[in-house]
Amino acid sequence: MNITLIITLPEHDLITKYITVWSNQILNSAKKVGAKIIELKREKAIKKELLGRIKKLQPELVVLNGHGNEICIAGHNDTPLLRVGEKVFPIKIIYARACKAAQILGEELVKNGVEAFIGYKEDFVLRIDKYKVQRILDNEVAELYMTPSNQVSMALLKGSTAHEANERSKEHYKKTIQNLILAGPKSEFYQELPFLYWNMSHQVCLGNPDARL
Amino acid sequence: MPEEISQEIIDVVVARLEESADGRFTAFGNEWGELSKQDLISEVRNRTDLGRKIIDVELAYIKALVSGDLLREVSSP
Repeated sequence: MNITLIITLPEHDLITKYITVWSNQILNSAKKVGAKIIELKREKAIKKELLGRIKKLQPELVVLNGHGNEICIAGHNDTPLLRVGEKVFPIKIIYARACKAAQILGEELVKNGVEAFIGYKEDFVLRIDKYKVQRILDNEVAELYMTPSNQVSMALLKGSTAHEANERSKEHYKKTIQNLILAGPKSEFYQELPFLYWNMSHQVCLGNPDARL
Repeated sequence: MPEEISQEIIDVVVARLEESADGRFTAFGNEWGELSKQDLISEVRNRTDLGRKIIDVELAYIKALVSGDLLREVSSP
């Protein structure tokens, strides 16, 4: 498959650091399918770099990790990367792991030529075991949030449609939720249930559900 | 004008948060930073915007659980 993936990897606070480190799962999947990977890390996760690469490479998949709101997704140091009104070159699919971006920005992007946009209508919640803050990949609490959300990009890279990738990710959330319910209140992760349910409920696929890389 | 939140709801959400373990940071995007359990409780008690958000999260879950929607959802293929 000839897939070009552009992924932003900001790292200016605890949350972006976690999201960036956990994006390794996505990068490993991309390597496995032989995708061309453009990592916009730290200071490279800025608007000029992103739009320049998009224009030049016309990537099939863009993964935007960072903070966001209804009208904007940010990069490193919270500088705006994409905002409402921005001219964007053709991209097949965008996955935005950023708060609320599906509310207005995502809708606008699909109206303006992005085939499908997967993101969140509400805040994306991340919880972290504070006693293991520095052990990012060993942080089992964070894993509960990062692994299901990573499934979106991983499923797309494996050939799923946008709709299927969104559902695949939700299946992971459901499995986790099911396991926690079965484990009951004695499980140290039982308290994660409302937050996991929140992320799952607000993750949406906009645009063409049959879009595929 | 945001909808008034009853004291009963505040009490339920605070009680649930108090029952939870201490060892978590919670982040709702970057607007409020990393919040401890006490931060969450305090935001709910003070009925701030973030407190309302936390209430939304908890109530959405409780409603889905009580109505049976949650179990239906997680057991559907």
